[in-house]
Amino acid sequence: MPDLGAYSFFVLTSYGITILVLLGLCMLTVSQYQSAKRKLARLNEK
Amino acid sequence: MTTRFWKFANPHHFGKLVAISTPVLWLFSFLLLMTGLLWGFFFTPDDFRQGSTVKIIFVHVPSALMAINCWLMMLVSSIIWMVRRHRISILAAKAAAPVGLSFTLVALISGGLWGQPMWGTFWAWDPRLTSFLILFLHYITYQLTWMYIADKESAANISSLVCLVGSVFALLSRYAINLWNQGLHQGATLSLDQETNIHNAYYIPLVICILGFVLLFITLVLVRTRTEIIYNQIELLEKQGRKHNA
Repeated sequence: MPDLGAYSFFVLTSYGITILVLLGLCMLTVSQYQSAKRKLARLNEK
Repeated sequence: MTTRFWKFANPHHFGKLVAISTPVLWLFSFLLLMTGLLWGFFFTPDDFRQGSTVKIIFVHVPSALMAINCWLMMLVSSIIWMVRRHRISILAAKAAAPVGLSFTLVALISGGLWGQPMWGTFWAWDPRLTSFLILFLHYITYQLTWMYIADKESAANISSLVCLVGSVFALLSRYAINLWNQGLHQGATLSLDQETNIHNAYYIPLVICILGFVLLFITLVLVRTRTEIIYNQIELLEKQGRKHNA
């Protein structure tokens, strides 16, 4: 872990928020895609 | 070449493109982001003036860059919709909006977190910051247009207009620093037409981060557009089912 000194809160928070937002967006995108595909498959079966 | 491009306006061809390209795109965007962010965080020196806060550059600059470029991509897609009425183009714009909104949010928050220790404030009504906030509000308006207008055709037309208006602020965010030589925000870190004003120790990881953000953006937009196409197919099938039952 690098020594961030007095600014550790600012640096860590900005990295944390970025990673959280990007991960959330990726997970949401994949889950919406999977559920849409499943729903389409179910409808096609009918 | 042009004909080959328009081939992807066909949902079937577009689906194929997404199926083939996304696994590779996911992998490369993940690898580039991991490399750039870890390099930037762990292996770059502190700046003599800004100390360790300089490390925020690796999340702030790529997200701000992509927030603006995402809006410009939405603008191109919206113009294609208005001129040629290609449904996939407007679905691509709709799919890109949440991605751009997220990048704008990251840029605003990381900018505030960088500004507090350097400027002594999280926020200032500086031309670039203000135009960026307005761009953020346009992203929200664009999202709301799709959420609250039931008729898809009207939503597509109105959201395209929102996109046209918002593009003024997207361009202002990009060029505000050149137009008004005042405010707290510094000049462009990277520029294609000028000499770079960043040391190599930061330049290489920053470029890797930017490439990672660009690839992630492309991947997310492709997958989300495919999802929008599937939603359209579902809606069509459900309509047919209702007609059949009646």
